[in-house]
Amino acid sequence: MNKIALYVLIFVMGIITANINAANGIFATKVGLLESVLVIHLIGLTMSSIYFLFLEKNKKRSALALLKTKPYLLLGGFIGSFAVVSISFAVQNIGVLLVSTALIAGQFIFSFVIDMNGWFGFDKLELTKSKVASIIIMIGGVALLSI
Amino acid sequence: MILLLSVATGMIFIITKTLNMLLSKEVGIYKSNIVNHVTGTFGALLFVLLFLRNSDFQLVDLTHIGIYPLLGGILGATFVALSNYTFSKTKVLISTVLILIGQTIASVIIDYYTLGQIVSIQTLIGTLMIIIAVIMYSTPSAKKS
Repeated sequence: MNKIALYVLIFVMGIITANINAANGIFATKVGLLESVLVIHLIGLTMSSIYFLFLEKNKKRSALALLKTKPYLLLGGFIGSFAVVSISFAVQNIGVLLVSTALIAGQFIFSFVIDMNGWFGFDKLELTKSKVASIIIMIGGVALLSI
Repeated sequence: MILLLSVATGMIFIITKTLNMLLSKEVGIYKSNIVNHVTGTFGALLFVLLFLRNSDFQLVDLTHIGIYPLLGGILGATFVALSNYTFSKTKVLISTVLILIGQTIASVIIDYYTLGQIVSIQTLIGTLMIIIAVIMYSTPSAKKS
């Protein structure tokens, strides 16, 4: 794949992200929040099983073995289900753009905290002038959205 | 209040993304995607059980709601598959910027057609400021990787 096609594909992934939030919000409006979150996960499970069957080359690696060694690694989806509930609820009320932007802001803020403290095994980063400026701009952006 | 809830949800995203990244290193990206949806389904079930008494939970008839609302689950799993393919082929900064631009443009259009909302000047400027902040913050780490 050439560079232009690759960049177009990544741009489309951004469009996909917005549509995931929008579709989940509309689904929750039509059938109810609790019902929609359950169905969304079941559909996602079906699709990810299909991708696994057709695209995974090494199917033998067991996730069950992690239950004994690193059980916390299995919690990502569990925690993420509450994020799906929250996003579906928020999109219904304030729209996709505000929710998407607030999600980016939240990820940015927590990434900054992780970087400054070196949590989760990541390297501890220095607080440079550029980083301080980006945080001030971020806070200003979130403040403008809140008006 | 709902805006702050979404900011907090973004923070939760970082925890789930970190756990998913570590899990995919152990079992592969596609199996980790399945594990995520299995444990996510348990999480959704727990949510249903917790709030069942306060709501009128009912069986869902999926035949009358159209295709678009059902795309969330399909696109979510597809995004993981696509990110596995694209992110290894380009720089982190480029991926981040392209996704943010695509997401923002699509969000403006979706809000206009689904909610009839036209983006206000302060929302547009706030969104641009957040995108600029992310680009500024990502630039040094992109050089490192």
